[in-house]
Amino acid sequence: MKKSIIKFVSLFFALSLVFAVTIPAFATSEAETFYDEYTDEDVFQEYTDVNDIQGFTYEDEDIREFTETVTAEVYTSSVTASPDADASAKPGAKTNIAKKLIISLVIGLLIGLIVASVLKSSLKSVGRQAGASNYIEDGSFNLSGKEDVFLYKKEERTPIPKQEPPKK
Amino acid sequence: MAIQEYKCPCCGGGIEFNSSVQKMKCPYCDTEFEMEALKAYDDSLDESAESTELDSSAGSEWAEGETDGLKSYVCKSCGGEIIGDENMAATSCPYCGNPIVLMGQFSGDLKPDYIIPFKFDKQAAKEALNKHMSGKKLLPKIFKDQNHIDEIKGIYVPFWLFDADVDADIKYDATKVRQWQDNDFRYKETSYYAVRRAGSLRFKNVPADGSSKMDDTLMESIEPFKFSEAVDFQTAYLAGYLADKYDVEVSSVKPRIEERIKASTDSVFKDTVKGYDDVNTKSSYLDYTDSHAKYTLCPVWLLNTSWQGQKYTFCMNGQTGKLIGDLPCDKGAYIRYLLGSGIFSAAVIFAIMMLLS
Repeated sequence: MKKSIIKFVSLFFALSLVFAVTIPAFATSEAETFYDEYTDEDVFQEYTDVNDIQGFTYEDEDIREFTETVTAEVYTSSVTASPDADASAKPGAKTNIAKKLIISLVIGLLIGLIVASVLKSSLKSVGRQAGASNYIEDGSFNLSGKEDVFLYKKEERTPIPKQEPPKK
Repeated sequence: MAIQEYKCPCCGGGIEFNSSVQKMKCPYCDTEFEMEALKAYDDSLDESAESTELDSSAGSEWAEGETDGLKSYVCKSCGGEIIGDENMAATSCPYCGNPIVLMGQFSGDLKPDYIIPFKFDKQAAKEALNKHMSGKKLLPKIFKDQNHIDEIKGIYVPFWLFDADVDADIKYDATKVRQWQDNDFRYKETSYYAVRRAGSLRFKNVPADGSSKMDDTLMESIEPFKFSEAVDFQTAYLAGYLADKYDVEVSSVKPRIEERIKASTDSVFKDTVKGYDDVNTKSSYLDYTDSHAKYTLCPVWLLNTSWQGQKYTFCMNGQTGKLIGDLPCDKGAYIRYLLGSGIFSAAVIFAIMMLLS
């Protein structure tokens, strides 16, 4: 029973570790993938198509300038959502894979260590008893005195940092 | 000191206690005898009877003091010499195999109050050991395959069983924490309380190992023993097993018993302190009243084996069948599992990350 609980807790811990790391990593990769796969040229082409279909008369230079502004804003806002991302440079696909690989290996080894430790602990069964709870006579517990006296209270206040309203 | 051998009146073979039928049984002609019948026989024994000679002639080649603590006896069946230490109380003749009980070791003040008879036999101990080793991924395969048990011994181990009434008066520091917030601040209000609990609790038959030969940690590991199945001591139960008289005094084991009782008492009373976020024991006063110890023999199967020069001891509670014993770890398998599960997990995590992106 005790061993099953240890195994369950270890498995839960390992899964938590997987999710704790993969979800933020997913957020980072999503932002970066957007930039990697959805290039300026794609955005320019889309706006050009809309221009033609809707019958607008914007010049190509106007669309190009608008496209650059939009893609720069999207990349900045996406990447800043992830603390690990380097907003100053466009990360390459190889760097992303290497980063994911390293993260995977570190978590994998941690899980391996947990699994091996659980298996090793199953070899040990000798240990001293913590108490004598097996030998308490049924119905012998008698609580004759019970006092709960309030002494004092202490209050702490922490200011909540204010968020400045966005500039228009 | 009297040597007692229980002989079968039908065939003359040595009879011994059989844990399966809970009776004395002759292994040669399978005749069974009630324990009550042998009790009357025990009572009629005179300790100073004929063949009680203690052979104290240790031989001229022994150096002075070398035989201290050793005693030799003569088997009544074959005349073979049986050598044991001063605490040996039951054994079997190494020449003819007849079970022997040394009556003097359990007379007067040394007589045990109770005995818990064996309920599991040697075969059950072997099976329990195999079960204990099965499913252990890091156990060296060669240890399991070549595990030839050097010896299996059924031993009645002397235990002190303590009864005690405990009056407790325990004080705690406790706190309650309330948290909330408004537009400007987060608030944390901590309320401090002085808590006291008093009452009583009764412990029955808390065991402590009374033999210096047995490892205390091993003996605690095979607990609990069910005292409800204990019977009045009778030497006939010892036939076929080994037994020692106690050589650890009650006063020596008392601190350990008090330590265990205190831990459990603290735990029981702390469970009554509810509704707080944090509770710390400030002071604990325990008074032990009506405490006394009973001298009891408890059944233990001891299995010894050695591997790579190291001795491994396994113990089985002869009453409940609980077997314990640390096993060796295969370092190669440990590394394989560490790396194997690590790399597999890493691959799965990497695949999940790639799929999500």
